[in-house]
Amino acid sequence: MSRKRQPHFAALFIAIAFSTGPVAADEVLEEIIVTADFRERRAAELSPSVKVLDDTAIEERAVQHFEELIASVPNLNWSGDGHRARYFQIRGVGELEQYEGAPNPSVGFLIDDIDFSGIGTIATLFDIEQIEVLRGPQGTRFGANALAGLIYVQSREPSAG
Amino acid sequence: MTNVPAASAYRPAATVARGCRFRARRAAAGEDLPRFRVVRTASRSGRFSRQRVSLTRTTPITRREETTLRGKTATGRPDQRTGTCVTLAGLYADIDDGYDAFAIDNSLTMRSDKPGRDAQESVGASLRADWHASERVDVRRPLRSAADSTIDFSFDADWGNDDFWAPFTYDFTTVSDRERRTASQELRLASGPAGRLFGDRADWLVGVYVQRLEDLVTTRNEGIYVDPGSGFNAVDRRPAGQRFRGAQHGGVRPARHRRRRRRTDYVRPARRAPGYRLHGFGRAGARARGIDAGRRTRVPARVRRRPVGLRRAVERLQSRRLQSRWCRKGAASSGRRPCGTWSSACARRGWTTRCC
Repeated sequence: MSRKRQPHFAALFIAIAFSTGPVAADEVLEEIIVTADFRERRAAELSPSVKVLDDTAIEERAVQHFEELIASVPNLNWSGDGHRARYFQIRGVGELEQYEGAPNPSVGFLIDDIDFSGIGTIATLFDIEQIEVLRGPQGTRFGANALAGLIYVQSREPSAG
Repeated sequence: MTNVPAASAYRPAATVARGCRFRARRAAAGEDLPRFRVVRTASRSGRFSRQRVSLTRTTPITRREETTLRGKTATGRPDQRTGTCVTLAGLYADIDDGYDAFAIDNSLTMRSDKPGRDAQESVGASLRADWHASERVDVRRPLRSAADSTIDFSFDADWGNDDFWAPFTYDFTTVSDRERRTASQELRLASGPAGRLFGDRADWLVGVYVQRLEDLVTTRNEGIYVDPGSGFNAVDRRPAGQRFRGAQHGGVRPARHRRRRRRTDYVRPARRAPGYRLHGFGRAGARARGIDAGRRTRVPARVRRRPVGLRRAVERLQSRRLQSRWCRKGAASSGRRPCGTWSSACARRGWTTRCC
């Protein structure tokens, strides 16, 4: 019985191998464009380590605040004074709770290009399009205000109609 | 996430998303109308709160109110390399969360009389305009942004109320008010499609970024901590004996024996609140040593040091209260308890000199 089945399995394997080849060549992969750097670039072209969370990731998790997404970002932690996350740490560098302020926060935090570094309590996620977390110093971009990294939040752009 | 052509056809200098981040498929065909987007979201919660004393039940400690308002308007034709694309974004957020639901006795009943809040109110705006000056140069993101935030953070540092801590006086709060203002200006010049260097192999970009930051923090630690409740009474018993042999009997060879026993009764005030237990942080007062023992034990004879300065003043106050307590107890009992020094406090209470 086993000898009779051998040609049958071989034919099936060959058919699967040839049938999947042309389909894969026609697929267009969706690219991730990161805008937190000087230029909008593909995530694969960026030199720093980056994590991008889009609106799909936010909707899938049904979260309300950015602190609920932090578990999905490697090397990003948060701390807060009371209820919400207020301070962020990237790779272990950043302010902790009851921090009373300093001239240069370690982790930059921007919402629609508005600087909220060191006061991330307002990072609600409704109608947010994309969150980019850049790990590592972003000194050329934001000076000493992003020594450990940068969190860049963008809300949805207005559409034409 | 943005849909762009396949990797083989992608060229960063020619993407429609570059500059304005607008998508070509979202632009109106043949029209250049301003586009608006305004979003408001609000969240209310706080039906859950622990049972509380010393506060009305209409103000839950864990009440949370979060409101966010975002607006954005944009003009321009992002799908073409002509003209200017302008985006104005605004943000208002009011986060007012209660969180200070901590029970000092590890129960479900809160004793806090001044529960804290974790709040932040921010308003900010940013303006950006991407101008395609020529095929060689793009003026990218001439950006100006400003934000003004007010952050409040507070907590009840004693997590109790006056009745709970009596006879101790322990009422402490920490309030931190923070004002933070930022303003930034940025300008970038970037290479256009015809402006690349080294034979169309490298992009270039020059820019300047200036930010002004004002951060003012005012922290108030207010409160009082008076611990009147410790002291001790000591009785030393030292029977001794000695046998002498005179010099006429071959020298002085005294034989002595001494036995010492010290009995110390530490005084600790009775708590009015039921279920009271000593907590670790309560030992930080000037009379912590008395509280720490609370049982019959042997201690060195010189157990107390002479206090100085503020500590001396505090101990005087405590001693006066302690004497008053002894007087009251002594008057009720047979008077066997030791009496302290008569003071004006005793006179105001009408106590007799027999007690005090």
